[in-house]
Amino acid sequence: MPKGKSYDSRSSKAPKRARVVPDPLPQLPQEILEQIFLNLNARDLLHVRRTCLRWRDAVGSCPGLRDKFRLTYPPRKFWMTIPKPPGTVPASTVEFQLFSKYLKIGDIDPWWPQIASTVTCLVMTRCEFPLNMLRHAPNLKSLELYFARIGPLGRMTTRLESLECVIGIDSKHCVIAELIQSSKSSLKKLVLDVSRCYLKTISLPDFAQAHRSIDELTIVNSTDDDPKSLCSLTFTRFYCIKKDEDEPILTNPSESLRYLRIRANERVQLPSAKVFALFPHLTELILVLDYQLSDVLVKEACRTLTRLERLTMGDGRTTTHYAVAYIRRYCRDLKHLTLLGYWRLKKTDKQYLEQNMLARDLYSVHNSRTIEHYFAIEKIARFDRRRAAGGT
Amino acid sequence: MSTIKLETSDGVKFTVKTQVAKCSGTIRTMLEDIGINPQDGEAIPLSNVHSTILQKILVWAEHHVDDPEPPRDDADAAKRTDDICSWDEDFLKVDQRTLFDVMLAANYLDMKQLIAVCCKTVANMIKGKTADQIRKTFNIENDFPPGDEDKIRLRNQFCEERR
Repeated sequence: MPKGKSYDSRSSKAPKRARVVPDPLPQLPQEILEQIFLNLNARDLLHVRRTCLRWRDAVGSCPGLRDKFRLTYPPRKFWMTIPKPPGTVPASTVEFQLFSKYLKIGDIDPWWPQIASTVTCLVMTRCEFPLNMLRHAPNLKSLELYFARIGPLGRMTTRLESLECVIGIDSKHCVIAELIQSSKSSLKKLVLDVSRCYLKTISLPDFAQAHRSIDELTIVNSTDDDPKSLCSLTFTRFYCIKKDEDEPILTNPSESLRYLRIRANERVQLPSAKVFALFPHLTELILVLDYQLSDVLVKEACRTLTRLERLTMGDGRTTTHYAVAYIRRYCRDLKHLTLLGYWRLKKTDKQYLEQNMLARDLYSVHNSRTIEHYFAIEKIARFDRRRAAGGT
Repeated sequence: MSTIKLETSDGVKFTVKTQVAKCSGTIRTMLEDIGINPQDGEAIPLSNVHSTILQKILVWAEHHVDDPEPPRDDADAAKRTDDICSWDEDFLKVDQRTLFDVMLAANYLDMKQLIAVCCKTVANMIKGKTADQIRKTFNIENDFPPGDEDKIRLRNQFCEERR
């Protein structure tokens, strides 16, 4: 049979009908539509949602597609006036945020229960909410609280797998404890950045013993008001334990620690540069210090931790261009570099970064007006090592 | 080499190598689980597939019959659409109607790999287009009640790529 012959006759017979009958693409079964859309990114999917009713619903009803979206309320574009809640949207990650005043979740109460059942990740930044709003979200897996004021939990149980809290001293710690307790068997990742008063109440090895499901635990103290106490806590509190599959939880973190995060504001006395020598096998370091990062500190870190693969540093405004030169010289295995805040880069540094790293999320690298030959990176710049073919 | 017969919706009979026919999950199930005996000489009826489309699909199956099973996809892994092999690309350079008929038939015949490559092809046609351009490309009717599209545009402003 000649290929496609009868088909051609069919299509040539019905060109007029084809204009009346809608094209078959929107009529494809839901599972095929989903499979097509899974190949698209969020930006394309937003256009798809505006195409026709059926496609809008197809995007909204597939969990895999909802995972591609993040809903932010109020959205960043509306700084001055807060718009009404957005009705149904196909996002499984929802972030509530407000920087100037606290947003009360009660304000959006009729809307939240409608969309909550499909939400798996909830981020709260500077808002105030009653915890019983979690009742509407039985599928919630991940909760992130940044200076959020939270109400009593009661006897509710949650099935959280990941909990991150950054909470100032005015918050009620008991609620965090309740939250941890309520998702005791499911919790895998816990990040606490809380004040010393709360840290005092827990002993880490005991805590780890009691919560065996947790395989990634970070405890940081960056919000304390008493710098001296923090200095003495440096070695015991400023660390994170990332449990490998076979390794038991470490009570002495120094030898086999792979991941270290230090975050401190300007009121906190710095850890000595020697701290890095305690953790010779680190592959990931996050060092975020407000107005305290110095060339010496960067040099010590890079010289001691030669195995680093991922490095995050900030803010660079208190360093000179030598800082980046040290990173270049010592960290030969570096695969990911994130520079937060303001950094001074020489032209050669910029060339090095361009040649060796693949810039990702590079917000603004520009010629500084005041300092010739230096480049400034503002906000966040992330670099990945260029993959095989493209790199030099 | 054993062969089996397939009969399409318009009554055309195809004689196909069993191995090629087993690219279709539906036919494989019929042969292995339900125990239809291909030696009987009776054709397996494929009532949802037109002969021209089956013809095309068999060409594809013949070419891909020795392909290894694809690795299980991670749901989280970013999907790539630029990895369509050039043979498939040429194979799918057909008008939209044929492409969608192939997809529907592949869905009926349960041929996952063929569906995947078709879906990528369609996704590539959608990528980078605005809603109007998408509608034009696929001849889709804008069936939103008046005002609803604006509402969606507004709601879309709340959404962004997940970080």
